[in-house]
Amino acid sequence: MKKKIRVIFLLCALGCMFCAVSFSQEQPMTQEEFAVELVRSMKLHDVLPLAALPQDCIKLLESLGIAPLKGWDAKAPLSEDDYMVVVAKSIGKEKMVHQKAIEVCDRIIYVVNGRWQKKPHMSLLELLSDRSIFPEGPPQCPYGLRFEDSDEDHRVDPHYHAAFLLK
Amino acid sequence: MSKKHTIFLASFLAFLLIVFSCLPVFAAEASGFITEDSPALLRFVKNLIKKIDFATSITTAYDSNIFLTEDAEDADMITTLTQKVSLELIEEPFYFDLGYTGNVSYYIDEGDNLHDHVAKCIFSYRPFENFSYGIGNYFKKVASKKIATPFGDRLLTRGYKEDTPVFEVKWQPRDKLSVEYSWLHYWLDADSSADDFIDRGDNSARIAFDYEFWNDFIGTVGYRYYDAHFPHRGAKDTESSRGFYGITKKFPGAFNLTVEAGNEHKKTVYQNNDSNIDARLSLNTTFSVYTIFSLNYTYNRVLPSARSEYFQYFTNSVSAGIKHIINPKTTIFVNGGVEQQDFDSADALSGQPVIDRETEIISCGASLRRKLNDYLTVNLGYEYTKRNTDFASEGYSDNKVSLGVTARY
Repeated sequence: MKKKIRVIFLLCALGCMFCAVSFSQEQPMTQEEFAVELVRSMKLHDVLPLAALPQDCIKLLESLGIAPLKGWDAKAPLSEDDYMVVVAKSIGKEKMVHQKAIEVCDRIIYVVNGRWQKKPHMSLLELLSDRSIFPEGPPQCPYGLRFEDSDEDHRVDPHYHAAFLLK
Repeated sequence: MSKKHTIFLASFLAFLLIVFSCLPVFAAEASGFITEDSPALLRFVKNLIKKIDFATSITTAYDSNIFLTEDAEDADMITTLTQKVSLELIEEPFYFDLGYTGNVSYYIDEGDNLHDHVAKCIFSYRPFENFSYGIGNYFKKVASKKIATPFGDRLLTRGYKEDTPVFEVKWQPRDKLSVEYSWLHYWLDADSSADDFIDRGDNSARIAFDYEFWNDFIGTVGYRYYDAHFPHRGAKDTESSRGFYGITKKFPGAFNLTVEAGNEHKKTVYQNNDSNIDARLSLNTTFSVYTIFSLNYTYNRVLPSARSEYFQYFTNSVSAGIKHIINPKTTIFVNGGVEQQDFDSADALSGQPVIDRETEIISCGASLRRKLNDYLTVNLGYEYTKRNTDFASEGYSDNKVSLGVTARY
């Protein structure tokens, strides 16, 4: 029970922090700014180098396996997806994150293959860029991998993510 | 009562004094006595105490070879009491950490005690987003009458003291470029006059530039100056400058790989222009919070020797470790490594046999940590060490099994 309360408290604190910083500034919070706050919340200061910069917080979290699915990009704005992934990993919900992400990736490949069978005259790039099929822009793998058809069989190559072991 | 007993007893009494002096404040807080209207000093003490972490652990271990001898191994049961106090103050952009850990190990059959004390004090300040500096001091004291302690390339039967003040600055002038400068002084003093020749006072200054070529590829170039001074054996003095170059390649969601090579030029009493090429490789997994694996390899690293026969030795080592969280309360650690130390005949001190020698150290261990509740943790561990060496009577094998309980409060 105490653990649940702590997890909820940590989530609320991080959520408030994220919202406060996001809404109070014109510039959105960067990933490295969030890494600094996360290291402080997790009380990991004692394992940082003596003179630590935000990039050292990223290195530390990375060494613990805590990172957005596409890896850290220090100066990039922190997206809501990245925030959810990092917080979920930091409280030990990594398995759930990977399960969902791999499901999303598999689903995208399934949909792209289905559309491609109906329009075999198009190249994969044309298909992914076609706004009439994907109105919100080209679909993206949650892990940032590209969709390719290396054997030219008009089917997207399956992605083998390193996290498949956890699925 | 010897001096070391007095020091340990004094530190233990200080520890008890801190704990018991805090009790009235805890009691006052629990009863709601301390409020916003309480005197500032009382509120300050309350807030300060909240930031102090205490930990005490008691470990019982079976050691198959307490004197680390080649023959006539002597086994013993060891009970170790560890006390740890740390104060951590984090007020961005300031960070302050003060910590002390003291151990007393009682050897039941031998009736001997081994004491060691480790203390650290760190302060760091980040005045700007891209600039940070820190100063720190690390102190260690190991005291023993008969129990042997592995120390670099030899076994040390008596105690020693180490102190390392450190200063570090890091600056990131551009998003992709960072510069790091560090300076440290290493001071070593052996307790026994027979071991005075290992007393050292070293200075090291290091500067490194990191440039992020791509988001997952970082290049490093740097320079390090090192000066090892042995006040009681001037023939062992060395002065070296080492240029190094490295790359770090990140495979997001999989692992990080770092490779570094260095070219070192040394000036010694015997060899005015000696040079050496060394390399290291490290691999750390990043794919999971539950399982973290690391692999480190070092090739041809040269270090000042703590032996009376040589002034330096070369080391090649490989080590690996894995940490796996079985469930939220149980974690297993497994590690192992092999180190080969080469002593070159050209590095023998005058009056010593001019021959090549070699030492090989194999070690492995495993431990299981189980958290019973928020305050108590149980630890079960096993360690094995095997040392094969050309130095007479210095090879040994040692098995150690331990069971301990740690309380944090």
